[in-house]
Formats: sequence, structure tokens, C-alpha cells
Amino acid sequence: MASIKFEEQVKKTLEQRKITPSSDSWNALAKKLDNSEKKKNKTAIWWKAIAAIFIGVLFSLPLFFNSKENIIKPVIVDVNEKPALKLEKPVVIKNEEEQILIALEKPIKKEVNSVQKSNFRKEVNQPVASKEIYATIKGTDNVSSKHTSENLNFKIEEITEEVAHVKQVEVAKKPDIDTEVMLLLEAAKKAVAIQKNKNNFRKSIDADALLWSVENNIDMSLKDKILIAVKSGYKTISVAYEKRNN
Amino acid sequence: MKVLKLYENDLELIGKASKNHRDAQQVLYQTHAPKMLSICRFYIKDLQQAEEVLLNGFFKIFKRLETFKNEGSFEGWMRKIMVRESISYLRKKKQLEFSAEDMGLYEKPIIHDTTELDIEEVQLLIDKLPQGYRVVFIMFAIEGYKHSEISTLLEISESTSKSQLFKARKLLQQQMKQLNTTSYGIN
Repeated sequence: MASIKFEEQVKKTLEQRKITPSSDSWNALAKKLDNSEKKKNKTAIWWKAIAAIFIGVLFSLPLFFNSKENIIKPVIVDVNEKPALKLEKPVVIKNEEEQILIALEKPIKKEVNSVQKSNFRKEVNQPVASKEIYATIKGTDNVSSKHTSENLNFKIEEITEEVAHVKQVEVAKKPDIDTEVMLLLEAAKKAVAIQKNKNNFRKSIDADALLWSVENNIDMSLKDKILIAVKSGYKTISVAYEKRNN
Repeated sequence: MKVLKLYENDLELIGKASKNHRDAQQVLYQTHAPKMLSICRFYIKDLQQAEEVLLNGFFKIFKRLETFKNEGSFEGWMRKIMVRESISYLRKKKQLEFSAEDMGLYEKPIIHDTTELDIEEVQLLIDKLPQGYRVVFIMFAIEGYKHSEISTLLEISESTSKSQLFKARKLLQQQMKQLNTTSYGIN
């Protein structure tokens, strides 16, 4: 019982006790609290930065994977170019009869523009008329030769003029067809590219493909020019040196 | 004490202190620091070291103030933090050692009446106890912890806690005897 009493007494006396801390103690504690808040703020900034990076990576990952799968590669189109309309070899007309026969037997099939074509056909592809002419040529032995030869000459001149005209048109038309084909191809390419872009909204453009497509259009780079200039300069110097030595 | 007048309500004071209002924190500190330093002093002989523990304890109190629920007393909550802080300080300094001698039956030693002892004398008697004895004695006799709680906090067995208490009491009895004989001798 005495020990319990003693312990109670000790408890009572010690409970009443108060020890005042030193005057600087609060300042030290306040400083410690300030430092911890600064650290906390710094760590908060770091965490925010890490979170931002994480979110950024999270958003960019699907883009990255999609772009790998759907890189727009340059479309190489094999174009079966239409064989250019070959001009017929110039025919050396030996005599008048042969000339007429050639003109009548080979109907002009070349495609000219519609107006010219129709005009030509009206005038040239008229077998009945040409046959008549041929018949007149063949069957008019009895007619005066002078009259027939004049008529024939006139007809032949007309036909040769027409043929020459058609040839000129063909020659003039050829590059137009080529350019037209090229333009159509370009338009088709553009249409395909636009369609693909529409289908794949977020597809990225492959840098290599872009470079490849542009490469052909670029002129010689400055580096190449300098290299060429240096090479030519070196050659002239070496030649001059050799000459001097000789 | 103009600041004290501003915060008449304890709950308001605690609420503001939890939101890092320095004024409120200062008021809380000035109000409770003397009592808390006394508690730290039970466990730690050196007053400067005790003050160091007090500051660490208050730092933790202000950091964890948001977790305080107004279910128990605020002082009791702070007291627990101070005790734990003192124990961890002693553990860090490797001053907390317990001799695990088997004392058999823990009979309570007879201690004479101590009505004449003042606070300083009591503290001196407690300070003379070995660290392990002292901690267990204060936790059991003054703070009111049970042996199971002491064993958990100090990471010792319950029997060790009991033996430490027994030894502390026995030593105190001897010291009281000595004190009485010397005082009688003087008189």
C-alpha cells in the first residue's frame, strides 16, 4: 500500500510540474516548419512535373503506335503509258497513181480533235467519192488526158494538203496528251492522298517519304555546287601544273 | 497576451494551426510546451536534450494536426506523441537497455511515506534509476500505461516490463531509505 501511495504522490507532484522552454525554442520550431513547407512545395512541384510528363507520354503513346502502323508511304503508280501515236513514215510518192491509191486505201484513223476529225472524215473517208475519182482515173482513158491530169492534180493536192495538215495536228497534239496524262496522274495522286488522310485522321507523315517525294524537285544543293566548283578548279590547276612541268 | 484573446475557442485554434497559421501554432506551443517539456524531462535527464525532443514532438504535432479528431483530449493526444518521441530518442541514442533478469514473484517493495519530498527530490530519485527501469516506472506509475502497452511500445516482453518495474521500485525504496537516514542524521 505504501508503494502505491508513494507512486500516487510522485504522480501528483510531477503532474503539477511545468518547465518553461528556452526563449529561442519557438523561433527554432517556426524555422523548422518553414523549411519543411518549402521542401513540401518543391516536392509538390516535382510531383506535378512528373505527373505532367506521365500524362504527356500516356497521350503520345497511342499516336506513336498509330503513326508506326499507318505511315503514308509514297504511292508508286505503275502507269501504262499509252503508246504515243506514231507518225507514219513519210511515203515517197513515186507517181500520181500510186499516190492516189495510198490516199484511198489507208483511211486516216488517227485521233484528231473532234472538229478536225469530223471535218477530215467528211472530206477524206468518202469511199464512194474516192472510188469515183479512181474510176474516173481508170476509166477516162478516152477523155482528154490534159483535162483528167488537171483534175487529178487538183485532187491530189487537196489530199496531200489534208494529210500534211493531219500530221501537223498530230505532231502538235502529242505533247498535249502527255501533259494531260501527267496532270491526270497528279490529280489522281492528290485525290488518293486526300482520301487516305480523311480515313486516318491522325496519321503522321513519314519524313523519309516526304523527302523522297521532294528530292526530285530540288535543285542542286549549295554543297554539291561547291564540290563541283572545287573539282573543276582542282582539275584546271592540275592540268596547268602538268603543262608547266612539261 | 493579445493573441490568446483572439483564439478563445480551442477548436478554432487547433483548426487554424492545422492550416499552418503561425500565430495559432505559436499560441498552442506557448500554452502546452511547459507541460510537455516536463513530460519529456521524465524520460530524459538532460534538459537541453529534452527540449530538443519537445521541438521534434511539436513539429510532428503540427504536421499531424489534421489527423486529430476531436474525440479525446488534445493534451492527451499531444502527451502520447511526446512519450513516443522520447522513447524513440532514447532508442536512437542507444540509451534504452533492459536487463532481462528473472525476478520470480514481483512483490511490491515497501516504500515509506513521501509527503515531505518536493518535486526536485522526486525527479532526482527517478533520475538515479537506470534508463530501462526509469522508463518503465514512469510509463506505468505516472503515465498509466499497462504492461501490455509498455511491452508493445518498448518492444519488450511483458515479463521484462514487470521485472523492470519491480527493480525500479526496489531501487527507489533503497534510495528513499538512504535519503531518510541522511536527513535524520542532519536533523
